[in-house]
Amino acid sequence: MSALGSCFRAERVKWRKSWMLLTALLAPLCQAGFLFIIFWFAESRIRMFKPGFQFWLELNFVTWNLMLMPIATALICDLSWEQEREARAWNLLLIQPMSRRTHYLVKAMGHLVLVLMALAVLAFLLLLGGFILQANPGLLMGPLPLAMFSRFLAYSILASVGVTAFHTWLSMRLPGIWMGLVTAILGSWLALRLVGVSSLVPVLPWGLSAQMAVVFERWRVLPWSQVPIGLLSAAGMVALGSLDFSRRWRSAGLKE
Amino acid sequence: MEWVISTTKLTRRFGRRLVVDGLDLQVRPQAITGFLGPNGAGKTTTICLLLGLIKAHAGTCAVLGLPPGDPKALAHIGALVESPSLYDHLTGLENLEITRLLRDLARTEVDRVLSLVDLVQDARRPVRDYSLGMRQRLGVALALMGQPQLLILDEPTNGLDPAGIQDMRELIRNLPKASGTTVFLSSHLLAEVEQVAGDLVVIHKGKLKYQGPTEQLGASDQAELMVRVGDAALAQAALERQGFASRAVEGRILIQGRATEAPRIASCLVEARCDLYELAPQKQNLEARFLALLEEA
Repeated sequence: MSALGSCFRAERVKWRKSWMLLTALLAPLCQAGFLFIIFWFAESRIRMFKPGFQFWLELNFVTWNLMLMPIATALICDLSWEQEREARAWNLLLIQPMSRRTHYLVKAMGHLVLVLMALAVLAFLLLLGGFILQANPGLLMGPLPLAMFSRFLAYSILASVGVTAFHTWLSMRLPGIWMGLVTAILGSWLALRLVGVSSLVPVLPWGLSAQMAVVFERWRVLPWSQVPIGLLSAAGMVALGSLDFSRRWRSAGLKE
Repeated sequence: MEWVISTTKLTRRFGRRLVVDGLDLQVRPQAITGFLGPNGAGKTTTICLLLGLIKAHAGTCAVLGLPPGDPKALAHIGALVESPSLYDHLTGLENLEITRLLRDLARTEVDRVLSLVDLVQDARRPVRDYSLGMRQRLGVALALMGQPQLLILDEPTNGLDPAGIQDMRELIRNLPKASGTTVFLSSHLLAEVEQVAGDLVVIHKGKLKYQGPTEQLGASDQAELMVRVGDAALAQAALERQGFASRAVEGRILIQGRATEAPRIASCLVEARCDLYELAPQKQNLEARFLALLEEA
């Protein structure tokens, strides 16, 4: 446990002045800023969609879970592994007194923390943006539905786990930003198409996040019952990734 | 512990190519052992095997009495393998901080190693602004974190200027005395190694060519005396008349014979009215012996 803690503290040092941290800050800012502009300046169109604080939250959380979160996760994971490759860090890291599995686990944990950091920034911006939008009476913002906000946030946190677990492995095994981005977009699209069609959806890395789209149908509730399956699938992906990393870590950038 | 590093028939292939070929290697504790071989001899692969970075295909290996890559052994090993592993966007201090946290060391350790490699002034600059020599020194500082029992350095003077090489040499030379560290120093430059290493291991094409004290590599059965004279042709003719076999090399004459024959040679040259500037025993130097070893292969 202490090796995991030490390794994670060292991982945090690597985030300083890094592109991953910038991605985690910019992704929610871009999304919330873009949707804010649409809400503010396209009021007449927004009024067609039952405006209000609820719609502001629904639109943002669905956009985040279906698009921005998979994309940001793919970028964060790829940039993080790329940082190690550029530094040729494995010659140094793998001669430290800890197992290889620890390094992989910490990588996955670090990526998840960065994704959750981005989500925290988004949550803050949603509240801030929502309160500013209240100044526009045409948007009928109304009061903040705090319970709904908490539900959406909690579900988004859980939905991030599978996507992060998958991209941590993918970026280690098949490096390249385009590979990550294309997989993220296609994966999210495929999962969305399978919602309601296949029972395998929660097993997919994007399964939980794709199901966030049900919030537009206001009579339906978030599929909380599928969360344990999604988390188990994510745990399985981390375990397999760590085995793959321990056995064949050449793909992580070291030439034998 | 008798040996800090001990390998038996250590073998590693890359594809069909045998890179390390049945290597039997022993390294004494608290000594500096030079690990010599031309480029591509298998030095870095051997080091990777010793550190557990790659697995051997045959043979056994023990480092600090434990299998390679054992975390208990790695806690007491510092290493610089190939080029230094550095995060360019971070400062030198932050790079050291990463290793400090990974090894759970005191904060003072960072200051200690920074002063050892003379990087205190530049510690807060991003590594991307470092020169090649500064990067190399930071790499050595990373290896020195935690005062390791065994320090494995792969070409540590790469990119250093002459003053830097001198400083690095002094630093390495003092380690066994100052902290009881065993140093395993890999290089393809004989001149670099012979000045600090008490023991030498020479490999070529993955095979062991020599292992033993440095001075014994230079020792030769065929003793020679060197003379510098005004007229080489006159001197060689005079020496030949006295029965000495000689050859001219770069303005000097090398004569086969032991030091006890120096007075006879001197009087022979003086009698021949040859200006004699220098007469000294010529030990076959390490480089010649090293090259001979490689040629034998």
